Amino acid sequence: MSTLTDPRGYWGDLTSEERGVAGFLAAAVLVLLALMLTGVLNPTYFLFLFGLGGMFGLMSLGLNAQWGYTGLINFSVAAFFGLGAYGAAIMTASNSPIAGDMNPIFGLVLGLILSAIVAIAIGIPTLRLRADYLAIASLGLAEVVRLIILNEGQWTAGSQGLRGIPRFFEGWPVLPTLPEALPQVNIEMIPGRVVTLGLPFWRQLLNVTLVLTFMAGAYLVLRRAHRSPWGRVLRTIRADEDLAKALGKNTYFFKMQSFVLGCLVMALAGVFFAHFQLFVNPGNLDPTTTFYVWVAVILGGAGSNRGALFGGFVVVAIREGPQFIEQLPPAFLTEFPPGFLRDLGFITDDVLFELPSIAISPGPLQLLLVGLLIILIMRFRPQGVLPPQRELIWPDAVDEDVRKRPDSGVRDQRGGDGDE
Amino acid sequence: MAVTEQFIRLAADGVVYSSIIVLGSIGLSLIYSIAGFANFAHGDTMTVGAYATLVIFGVVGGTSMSVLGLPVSFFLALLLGAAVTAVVALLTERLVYKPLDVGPIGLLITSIGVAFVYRALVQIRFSADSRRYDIQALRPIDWLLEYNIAVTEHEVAMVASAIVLVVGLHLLLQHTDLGRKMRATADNPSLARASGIRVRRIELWTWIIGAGLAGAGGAFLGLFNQLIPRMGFNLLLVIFVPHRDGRPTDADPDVDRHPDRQRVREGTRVPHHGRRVARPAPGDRRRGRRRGWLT
Repeated sequence: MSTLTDPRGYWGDLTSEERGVAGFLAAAVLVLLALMLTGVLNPTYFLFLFGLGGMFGLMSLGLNAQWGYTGLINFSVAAFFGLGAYGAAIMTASNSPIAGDMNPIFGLVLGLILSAIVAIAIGIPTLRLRADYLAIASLGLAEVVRLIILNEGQWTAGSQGLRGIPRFFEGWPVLPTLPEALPQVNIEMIPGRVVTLGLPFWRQLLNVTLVLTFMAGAYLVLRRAHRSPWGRVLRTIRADEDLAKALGKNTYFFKMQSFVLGCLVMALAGVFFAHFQLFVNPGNLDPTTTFYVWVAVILGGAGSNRGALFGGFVVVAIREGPQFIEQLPPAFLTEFPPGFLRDLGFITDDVLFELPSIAISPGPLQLLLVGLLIILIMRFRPQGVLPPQRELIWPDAVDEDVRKRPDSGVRDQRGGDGDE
Repeated sequence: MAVTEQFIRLAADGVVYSSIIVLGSIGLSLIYSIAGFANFAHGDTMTVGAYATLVIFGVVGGTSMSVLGLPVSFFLALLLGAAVTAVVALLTERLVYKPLDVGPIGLLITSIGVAFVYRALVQIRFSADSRRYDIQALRPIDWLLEYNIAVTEHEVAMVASAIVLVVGLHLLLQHTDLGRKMRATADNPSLARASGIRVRRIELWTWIIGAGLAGAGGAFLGLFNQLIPRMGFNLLLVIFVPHRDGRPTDADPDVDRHPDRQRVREGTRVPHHGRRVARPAPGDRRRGRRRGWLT
């Protein structure tokens, strides 16, 4: 644990991107803690958002294994997410037409199997296609899966959705009743503003523990895969598939493995979602989710697992942020300068004027922000905020004008061990 | 003969609907051939056309003179709406796509962002509720009902307009100077440039024509159904389909469908997405392009 024994040296080893992201995260944690302790942000709601962030982080990890490692364009993220969610729901929901009320473990297994089967079935015809054909084929697949789930009511209960899904730890020892057993905690940082941590908080905390477990598992597996010889073949395929073929690799087979691996992680996010929301319906398979996950991966930096996780949380912040704008006091939006500045006495009455009220509903604003974010990233930082650090195989490693290594932060002595 | 009747009815519906789709997918194909990427914003470009027509038609208002049940001013609004769409597309090309330094896949992803921005702006301005053009809905034409074809005069107008536009485009591509230059550019941008074609100008014309057709298609789609901000996005998949296989004049389709040969033909470089950004030679970003519909 060099972090603990030698923090200064550890910081010195970080690349500038890593420092930037670490600083940003530290600031975000401080701000969020302050908001929660002062009672501005409800801790239970924060944990809910964190759960969502973890879910998006899982999906972007999965997409990163496909697009970041191998260069496969998969526009059916929402479909594999939905297969995971429906696999879990069909086994466990109380109104499931096939097999309800079973242990969530069976739901997990069914979700993963379903998505693996669909991934193989769609991979056989499409993985031989060029990149943008795969994009369109997978966009079509997402629509097919959504319509099947919507219309095959005898299996999926159609548009009503599946309800009465138990929490994931139902039927386990201790854990299901743990939230009830935990005491209610009152924190009073500012006099008169009591922050209560009760049953809902402990329940959400259990959910967050679950998603963190899934995330850690997926992250460790993917990191191991990425560093292995197998991962190097994938990156070679991304850089130059003909080169990989010339080295005797069956690239189709490798692409298939990478595709299925990514789809399994997406399905895992779906399984979590089913036990998080306790209700699934075909609306959860909206293709817009796919594009949010893409934003997360591009923002984080294609090929980087940590970047994908980071992007997942940022996307949730963007998705949920516009809802807070509505909650701001109207005067803040319609008066300029806002009241608290006027109280300071710097501003005399003659600069006061009324701004036109900004009445934008959160839905389109969220869409607008995500759209602008995509354009701005592609314009100014197409490699993302945290691209793979200490990477040995660059996408253009085969070019003649290859730079030997990144500019900074390369730990020479660690060679192939420390790449991410 | 219920089956025959149903077949006729479905065929008539299909002809009407596909005349809308054709307008969208032609523009998509043109842009794919010359700009070199799959434009995911094309569906939302149709939405822009539909709403632009709505605004202009609202300003111009209905006229008493009408053709096929549609006021003449609607056709005027349609043309102006298509022109507005073309301007929007040109601005997008100039401000968003042109300054980018990424491969075709990067452009594809950027176009998703553009699609979101279009849709969000339309939704902010016009809300998510559905709207209609201020035109009386018509009953199906009586004498055609005897043959079990339920088609309104509006739908006849759509099909006729689509035919006019498509034939016009065909003549443009086959028999005019601009068309020849466009085909040459689609076939081989470097050769076209070396031959003295101003490739940049051809690209801009492609955007104008492609987006203009999409705008007209969007207006017809709004007339056929109704206007909602998602209308174009919902159609996106459908307009991609004919674009795949509709290559009427490709001499040897098998050659570039075979993945191995495809790679050889198009150069082996895969789009970059690592820390370092590719600096391809000018015109190089079109290398990922397949031989398209135009050649």
